[in-house]
Amino acid sequence: MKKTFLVALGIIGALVATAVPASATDSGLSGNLRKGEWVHYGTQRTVTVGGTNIYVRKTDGPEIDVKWRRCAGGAEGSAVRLQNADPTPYVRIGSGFRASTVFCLSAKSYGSNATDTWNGNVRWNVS
Amino acid sequence: MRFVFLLLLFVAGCGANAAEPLGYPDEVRSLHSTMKWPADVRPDLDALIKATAPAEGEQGFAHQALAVVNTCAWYRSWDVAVLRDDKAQAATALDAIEHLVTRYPPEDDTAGRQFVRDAAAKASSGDPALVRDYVDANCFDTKWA
Repeated sequence: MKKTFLVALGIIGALVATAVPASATDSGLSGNLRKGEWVHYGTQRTVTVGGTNIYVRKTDGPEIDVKWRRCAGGAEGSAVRLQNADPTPYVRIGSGFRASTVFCLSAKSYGSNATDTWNGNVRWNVS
Repeated sequence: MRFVFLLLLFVAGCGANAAEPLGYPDEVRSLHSTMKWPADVRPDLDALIKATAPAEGEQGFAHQALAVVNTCAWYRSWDVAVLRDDKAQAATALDAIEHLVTRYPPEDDTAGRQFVRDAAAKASSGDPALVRDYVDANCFDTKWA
């Protein structure tokens, strides 16, 4: 019985370790919003694990679109919708980034207020 | 007469407004002119402004955009100089890579700070791998003047 419990514990531990790789990086974020208009945020983050993805979730705020963009301009991701109900699950906003990519975020509000704010988390270096 | 005097004061006051904040294009040009660039690699500023301009009424981030592009410029300059065995230019670029570029990533981007230090150390030993990675990842479509 004890052996079965330990095996089960080991399997659960392995699954958790697989789901959240040690290299994953997570940080809180908050930003201003404008209804129907993209707001660019200046906080830059660097991908250090090549081939990984970026995820975002919202913990507070109206319905929004979020996208990643290169801080130096040019490339950017497609808009991904985060619904009004909080907290949202982590949603992938980009994938297959090269190591050393410096990225920033942008968001657009679909709420009823002309201006608003939101809070959430961004997670990167995740497979 | 008193009315005319007050009117003149009002008009004079309107003309003596404090300096207006720079628009984003002017901010980029102004910052660009204060930064040190390699002689052989400079960005096309019009293209950079177009690619990074904020929405009307929103704050732009000229510092961040120019820091990344300046990093790419010095990395490219060093790489090209090494390939053509231009020791003087390679030394100038390496100095910038070690002492200028390493100051760009902000405090809270610890991974970015570590990356530019690692890239400088590799370049110093003649290894272009990280320098090329950075340019490919961040400036592959940057237009150069």
